[in-house]
Amino acid sequence: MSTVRIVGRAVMVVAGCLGAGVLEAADGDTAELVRVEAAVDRALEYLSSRQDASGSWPHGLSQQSNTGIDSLCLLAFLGRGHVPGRGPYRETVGRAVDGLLAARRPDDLLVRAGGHSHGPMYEHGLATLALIEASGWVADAEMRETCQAAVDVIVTSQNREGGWRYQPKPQDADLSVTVMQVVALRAAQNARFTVPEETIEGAIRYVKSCARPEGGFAYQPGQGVKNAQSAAGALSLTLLGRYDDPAVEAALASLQKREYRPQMDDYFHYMNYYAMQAHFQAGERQWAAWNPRVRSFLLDAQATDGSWPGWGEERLNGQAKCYSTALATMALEVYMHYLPAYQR
Amino acid sequence: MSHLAATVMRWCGIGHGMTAAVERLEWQWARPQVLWVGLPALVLAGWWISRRHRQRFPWLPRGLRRALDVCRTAVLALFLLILAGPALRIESRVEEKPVVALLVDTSDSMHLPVGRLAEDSIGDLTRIAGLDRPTGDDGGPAAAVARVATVTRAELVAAIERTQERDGGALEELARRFELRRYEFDRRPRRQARDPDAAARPSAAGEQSGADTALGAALQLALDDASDRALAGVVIVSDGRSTVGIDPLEAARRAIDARGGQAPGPVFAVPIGSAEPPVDLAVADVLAPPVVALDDVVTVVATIESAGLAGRKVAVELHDGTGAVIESFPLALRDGRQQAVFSWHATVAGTARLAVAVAVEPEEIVRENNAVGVAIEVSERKTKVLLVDSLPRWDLRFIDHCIRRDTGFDATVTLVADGTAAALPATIDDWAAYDLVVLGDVPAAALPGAAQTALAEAVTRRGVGVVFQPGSAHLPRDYPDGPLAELFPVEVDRAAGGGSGALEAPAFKPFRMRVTARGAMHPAFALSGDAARNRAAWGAMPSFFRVAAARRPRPAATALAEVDGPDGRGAVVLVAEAPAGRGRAAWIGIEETFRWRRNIGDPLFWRFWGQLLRDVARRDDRPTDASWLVVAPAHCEPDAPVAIEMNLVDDAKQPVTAGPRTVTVDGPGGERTVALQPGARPGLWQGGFVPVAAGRYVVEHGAAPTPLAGECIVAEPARERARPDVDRDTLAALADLTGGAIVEPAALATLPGRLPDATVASRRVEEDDVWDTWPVLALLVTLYCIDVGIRRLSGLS
Repeated sequence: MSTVRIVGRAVMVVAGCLGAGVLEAADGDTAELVRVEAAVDRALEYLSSRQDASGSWPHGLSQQSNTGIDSLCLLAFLGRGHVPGRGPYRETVGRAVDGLLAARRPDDLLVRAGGHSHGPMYEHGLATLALIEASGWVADAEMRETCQAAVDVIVTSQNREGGWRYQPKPQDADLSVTVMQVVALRAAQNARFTVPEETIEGAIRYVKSCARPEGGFAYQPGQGVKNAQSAAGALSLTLLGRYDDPAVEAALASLQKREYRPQMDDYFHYMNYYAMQAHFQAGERQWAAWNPRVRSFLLDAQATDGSWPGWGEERLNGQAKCYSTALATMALEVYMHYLPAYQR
Repeated sequence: MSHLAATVMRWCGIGHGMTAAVERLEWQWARPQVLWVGLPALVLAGWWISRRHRQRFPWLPRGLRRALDVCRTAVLALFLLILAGPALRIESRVEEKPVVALLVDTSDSMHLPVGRLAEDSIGDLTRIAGLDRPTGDDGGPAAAVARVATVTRAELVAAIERTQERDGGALEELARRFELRRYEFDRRPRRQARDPDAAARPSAAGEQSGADTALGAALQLALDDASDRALAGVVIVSDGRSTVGIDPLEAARRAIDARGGQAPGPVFAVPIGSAEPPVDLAVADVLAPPVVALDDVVTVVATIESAGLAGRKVAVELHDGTGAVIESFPLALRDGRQQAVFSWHATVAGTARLAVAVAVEPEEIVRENNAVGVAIEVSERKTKVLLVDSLPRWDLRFIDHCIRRDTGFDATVTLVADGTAAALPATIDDWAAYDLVVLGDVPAAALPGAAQTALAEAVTRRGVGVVFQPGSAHLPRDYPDGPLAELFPVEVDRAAGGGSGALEAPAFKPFRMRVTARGAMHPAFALSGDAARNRAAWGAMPSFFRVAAARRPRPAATALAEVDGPDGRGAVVLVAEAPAGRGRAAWIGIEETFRWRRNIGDPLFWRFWGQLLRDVARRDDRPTDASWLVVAPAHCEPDAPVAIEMNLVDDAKQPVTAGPRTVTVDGPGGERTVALQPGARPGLWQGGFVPVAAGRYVVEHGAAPTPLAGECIVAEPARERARPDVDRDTLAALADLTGGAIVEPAALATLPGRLPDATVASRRVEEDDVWDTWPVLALLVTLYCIDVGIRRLSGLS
């Protein structure tokens, strides 16, 4: 029996039996988990207060909204179990979902016409993920049709190497944009949208081409290792089913060797979120090695109003702290295991 | 004089219970108006009778004629008297003392030593319990603590009761001021006369009723008994550990609900035993999936609990059914709970019996809790499941993920968002190709009437299981009646939620799940053999906002979990299960079970779903063309029902339907005969029995065409002594909930002062008819005899 099969079975059987046993295991961290939940709740209260009537969140670089930031904020609510149609944030979440649906362009890109953009495929990947996650709660034919159309855009934008770049054209590619499409495709498969198998195979091929022999991933094949890309690459491979690819462990090892601090990457929040998910997806050993330091750091760094500072990403994502707060919140929400796209 | 009157009344049979207070008796007429009218009429009638006798019988001697007059008039007078309804009446004032229920724990755990108590209260305790200082004892607190530590909890209770009775202490004061009702409880509660020594006696051999503690049932019995009386309070003398039956907090909550939110009376808990846990090493529980597939690698997780042995290194061992060690897990003990994790490969189909054991340490008092067994059913057959929904709801996405990784299932997921029925089975055979169908929020358009009927038939006639997980769009709204609606294990309040059949919680007062007593031991919720722990674990699950409006379980259905409905509309059934012909149906009234993943991911989520799906799915894979006899469960506790199922075929493999059919059950109580009833199909015979004592029960069917046999091993549960420490948390929670308090044994003297002394005075009126007595009848007969005698003797008739 292959290692993967044995591990898969064992994981499932553990899942079927552990129950209270795992509760006991979690008991040691109960106080910390309560702190995590409290911090997430404060952050959501902050984000809720910053949402505008159209369902968007500010970023500070311009007055135009950005569906990428809107999607991250929506995912932050979903990740705490605040799903559409119920609960204390039903209106906040409902406005955000409606806003993303309304952002659909004739070419099916989920990027608001005239909105602020870093390259539409960033925003499109995040918006596709957010809508697919929300689609389980909205009995609406438009929702499902929009999600499938958004997935189709991702599929048709994949380049020959298997990656994606800023524009919805199959030209060049980078790992930073690719990881967002990979997560969206994984969510789409999980929600039973149509995703061609060759798209998945192509994505695996591209991500692996970014792996560096010294451990870690590069922004593009042939370039040097970057921490944010190492996190993105490791997460991409695990979400694409390559759990035991040596590149995953090597990338996580390279991250763990670094001193954990905001200066470890120009895109700290981006790196932090993907690194948290990547370590979780890689299994208990990696998770145990990584999560306490992130948790401790984020809990200590949260402002009293519930937000987190930008730590240098303001120049790209704006002075408004919605982007940083959403990503930090999502990093902490890994503990909650609510978002189906990220189930291990 | 009054004595004479009382004697006469007693002699005449008048005024039962009144003769003690003759001087307070009052005479009264039920219909005095009869007298006012009747007496003048009687005078007239007497005159008329006399005149008539004088005219008709002038030749009769005057004396005899007068006697006739008197007899006739007296009969009329008696008749008048009876019509007027003379009665004796007594009015008295009755003072009714409020009830105090004293609940004394007599379970086996009460025969454990008390343990070390605090020095500052030991003096009071020894005085209250009359534990006199033996010769040679220096009388210091330390010596007293050491002395009391070896006394059993039951002996301490008995000593306290005896001393209180002898010296007129707190319990005697309670008995004087209140109506003190004493109850004892172990596996069953019972009302008892006060007998202090009874508590100290261990259960008689064979009874074994002390092998469990039904604290909740005892509380419920005491509260029910006092339901028509003023209840001053409940005093519980116990180590607090409740192992069976209704949860004590649930019993208290029900009583509070039944009284409109008012506590029936404060509960004062007297914890017996040290607050310090005794030195102990225990296997608290063993968690393994009850059903796995052949070739699965099963993870067995044992929770090891220890106290007073920190630093000790032990080996926790996983044993197979023969006692051979499969794996050893080294553990450095620290006080509290730790886990030992084992792997076990299911290589043989059938029931595997595993045990986790840890060696007994010399200082341990309780040694029965060092091993726990677990049975795992290894199935060769994959359960075929069809999951249908209209949306990729989160629960479906997580189930989809888990079920594909569980080797025991072969799952198909179908989304019918576009409302086409083509993708779904249409005939009975199509549906019966699956062992289980999970119907989510499926529109009726996707499931036409014929397909519904076919599914219902597949469930009721072919044994297919069906699980309903309603949503907010279609189920149950699209199915107001019809074959599918008849399978729902619950009655749906279709008017709720504006016709959606769903209830929504206020945003900041979400629903919180409560597992029922039956649910706590259901495979879907049973995480261990400790029902209270199971309920606590599931009760701690995150709250949620929407439930299907299931008012109550259907007849024969079992509610496994419930929530309090919004706006005080009572409990709403959340999870229920029911038999449906040959199949089973389950209802999951929540579409947010994904919340059970919080902080731990799949384990509890899939524990629930995986075991529920297995439980509901068709499992009848025994051949119908062979004879067999199955006794289930193969292992159980006393008082648990045991089912017998027998399939009989003749030599031509045709079902044997000729009855009656009986089996013999040979067990500790002797041999007896159990009659079997015809089952759901020809050749199938079913019955059952309830073993009352531990031992091996052999079930045999010796008659033609084939001798068959099966057995069930009945063993006492080990949970009573599994946790030897005192459960002060439960006792404190009970006290808090009802406005009572914890009262340490040493402070027992303060107890009477805490109970409200509210004697209830009432006026009691007693009446007794005077005319309805034998002297009146005798007088009537005498008068009639005299009248008839005079007439005969005088030749008048």
